Amino acid sequence: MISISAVLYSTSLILILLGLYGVLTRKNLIRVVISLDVVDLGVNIFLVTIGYVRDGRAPIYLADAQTSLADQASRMVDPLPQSLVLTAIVIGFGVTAVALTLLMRLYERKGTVMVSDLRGLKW
Amino acid sequence: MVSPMLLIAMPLGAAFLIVLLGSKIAARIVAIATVAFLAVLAPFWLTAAISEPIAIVLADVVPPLGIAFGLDAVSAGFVLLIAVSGLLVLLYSLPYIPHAGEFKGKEKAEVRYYAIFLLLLAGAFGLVMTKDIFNLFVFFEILCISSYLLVAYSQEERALEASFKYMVLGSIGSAFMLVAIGLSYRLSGSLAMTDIAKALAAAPASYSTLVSVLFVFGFGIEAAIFPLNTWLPDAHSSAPSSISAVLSGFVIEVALVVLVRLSLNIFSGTMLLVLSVLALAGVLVGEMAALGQKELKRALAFSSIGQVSMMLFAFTLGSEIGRWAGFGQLLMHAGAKSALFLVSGYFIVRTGSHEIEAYRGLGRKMPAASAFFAIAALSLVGMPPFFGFFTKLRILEAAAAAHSGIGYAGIVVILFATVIESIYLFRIVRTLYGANAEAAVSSSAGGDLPVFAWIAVAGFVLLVLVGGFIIPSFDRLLQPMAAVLATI
Amino acid sequence: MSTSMLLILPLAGFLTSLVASWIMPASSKARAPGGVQKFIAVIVFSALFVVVFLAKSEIGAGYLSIPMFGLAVNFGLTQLSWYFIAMVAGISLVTVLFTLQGLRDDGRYPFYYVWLFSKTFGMLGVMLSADMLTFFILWEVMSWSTYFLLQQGHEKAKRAGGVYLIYAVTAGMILLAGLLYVYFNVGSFDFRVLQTTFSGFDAGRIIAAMLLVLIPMLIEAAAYPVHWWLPSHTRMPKQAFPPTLRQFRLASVSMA
Repeated sequence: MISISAVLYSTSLILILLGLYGVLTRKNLIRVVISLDVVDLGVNIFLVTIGYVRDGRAPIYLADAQTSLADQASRMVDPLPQSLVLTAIVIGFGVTAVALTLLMRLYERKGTVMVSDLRGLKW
Repeated sequence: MVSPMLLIAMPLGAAFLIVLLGSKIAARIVAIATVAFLAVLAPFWLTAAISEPIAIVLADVVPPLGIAFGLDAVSAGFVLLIAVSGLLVLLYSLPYIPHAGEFKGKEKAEVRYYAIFLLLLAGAFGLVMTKDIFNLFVFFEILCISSYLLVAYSQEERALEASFKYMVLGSIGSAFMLVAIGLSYRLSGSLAMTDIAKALAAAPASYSTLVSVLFVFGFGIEAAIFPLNTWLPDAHSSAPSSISAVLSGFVIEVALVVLVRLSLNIFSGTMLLVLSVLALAGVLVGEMAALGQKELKRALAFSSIGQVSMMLFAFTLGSEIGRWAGFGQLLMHAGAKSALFLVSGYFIVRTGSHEIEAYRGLGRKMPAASAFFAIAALSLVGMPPFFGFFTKLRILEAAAAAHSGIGYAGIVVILFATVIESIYLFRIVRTLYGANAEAAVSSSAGGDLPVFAWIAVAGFVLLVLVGGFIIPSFDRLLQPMAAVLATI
Repeated sequence: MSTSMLLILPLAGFLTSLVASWIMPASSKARAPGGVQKFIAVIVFSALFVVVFLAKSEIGAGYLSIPMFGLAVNFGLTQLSWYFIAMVAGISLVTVLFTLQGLRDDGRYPFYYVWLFSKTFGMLGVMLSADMLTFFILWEVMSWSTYFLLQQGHEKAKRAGGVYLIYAVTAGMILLAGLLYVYFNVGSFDFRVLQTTFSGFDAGRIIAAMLLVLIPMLIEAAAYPVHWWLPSHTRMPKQAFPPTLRQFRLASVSMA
């Protein structure tokens, strides 16, 4: 039985690689931005999976006294990577917004977002 | 003792204030007042931090639970550099920014320029003060995103393209860095850099190698390590010149120093060797490429690649004198390259062209600017008696003292690179003072540099002029920085 | 005291000439140096010549040390260097007197005297230097001063300047490599220390060091044929001297 964490790690790796492939090969710059998002997605999944605990519970202390706090704590999923991911999602959102704005301006100037027509800058 | 958290809080607050107020005059005053205030405080922090690192406790939450910030010798030195550079560049921006690009909504954009500039400074300050690896990521991103925006400021096509390219590479780098951070956390269970250092030291070699490679990729893109620096020539040459000065002056250097600090403390020795080799390759590629450039700012940008690679080489020699030399070179480059970029900004404004040939004879129409350019160029090449000579000498000394193959190779490469640098830089100086064609200086533009620009450039050139001679105290500053860099 | 004057005078000349060239308008349409600059030049170089003879009494005694960025720049006067300095001062004075009339209108060189002062400073410094680092520093000052001086001539001189620069910088870098090599073998930059310890080394190292130091000298000397088309012919004999001078100096100190 393959563990959940293995599945998640592989998924994140596949997403990252897919995203990189997209960045490298896509001609339409909007697709490049989407591929960057895919990479971010993969990385975020990876980060969340780091906190994975088998049969873990949500990281919230419950008031009922059946189990001690220490006991509850040992069975919780690690919350820290989740907060890291929240931050990372926001940052990713900001970058995507900037990227798309740049593309909009480029489109206004040149009427295209295809890489081949935008090779203004060379060696 | 004023809390160094002001370094982050004030620029952030000022940036939002500026956007709220929305007026150009308010923007300028607020921006300059903020940075000037921080620049005045910086030497006090520096003297305090050299004797003993200042630990900063936020909201009374003590480590290891709280957010870790701290001001040690390296951080304080950078704070001083960033604050003073930022102030001088802001002064320069006052007359310059209205010339940077033609687009709709230029008036409002100027307000946003000052706001984003302050954000960039906040990011840089945070980056040098952080002792926590996720904080590192957050401030690094603030710095990066601000610079993506500022590079695209002029909204010319080349600027937009350059910014996009920079952004794509930067995002990939951040993604890798985040993976590395995740792996580090998984291993050590903590985000504080000291804990991570201990954990990685004890980890199996393959694991720490993976982490270090990912970090080098992530930071290397921003720090312009060969071969990750393909974005640099476009970005630094298309950005408004004030931003080029800031990017070449301290942004890539800050990223470089953070990377070096991680490498020295967390990663193994082979990574240092790999970095040395990449550094030497960067020196060669950067300088040789600069030789072929017809546009001034592109040549200067390639030169930055070469110079930063020299710094990296000095840092990765692994000895204290190497680190000392690297910091000296860093300081000199900040002064000289900033001056060069700022002056080139006005060359572009006065002649309307980016090409070196168009500046022929400008030495007569703009004598102060050209003189500043020549002095900064001489220092960059490493001609005595300017600052650049002493820093380069020290790098060579450190390389020779290493008694290793890479050290000797480095000496040869750097000496060769100096010859190449002198060729293209002096060629530019020669064009400036050339006699044949007269430069097409537009008559409406008022001649030489405006007052504020003059003051800013003079400030940087002053560093380059006197750095060698009159201030042996620079040495006393750099030495503790070199020592502290080896700790985390 | 006189030793320091030997250095201070050209420096003072450089600064006053620089200020004068910036403030005062040029004397003729072709922007040759104005009367004020010529006046300054004559005064300073004559004074220099006089001071040289005053300095004769300080041979062996006038040691000057200026701290710079963690290192020190050292100057001292020996018998041998005094002769060379006297020669240089004399020739410089003669050259300046010639240029009073000789500077023609076929070029534009308002800053001629400025760079002449700078170059003289470099040359004197080279001859007064008491250790290799100082030697190198002043040598480089002299190199780029010469480059800028050449830029003050007409078009052919400027092109010659470009070629000269490549020679000069390459020579400088080889010299720097040699300097470092010697430093790491001997442990000090000081000429006097070199003199004593050098004899103790095996032939291989001595040869390597000599090559690294002499090749730049030869490069400088060989570059001089390039100067045959300078605007003022009186500059040529002056140019021929420095490389030979320095060769002698270095040979005398580090014994073949």
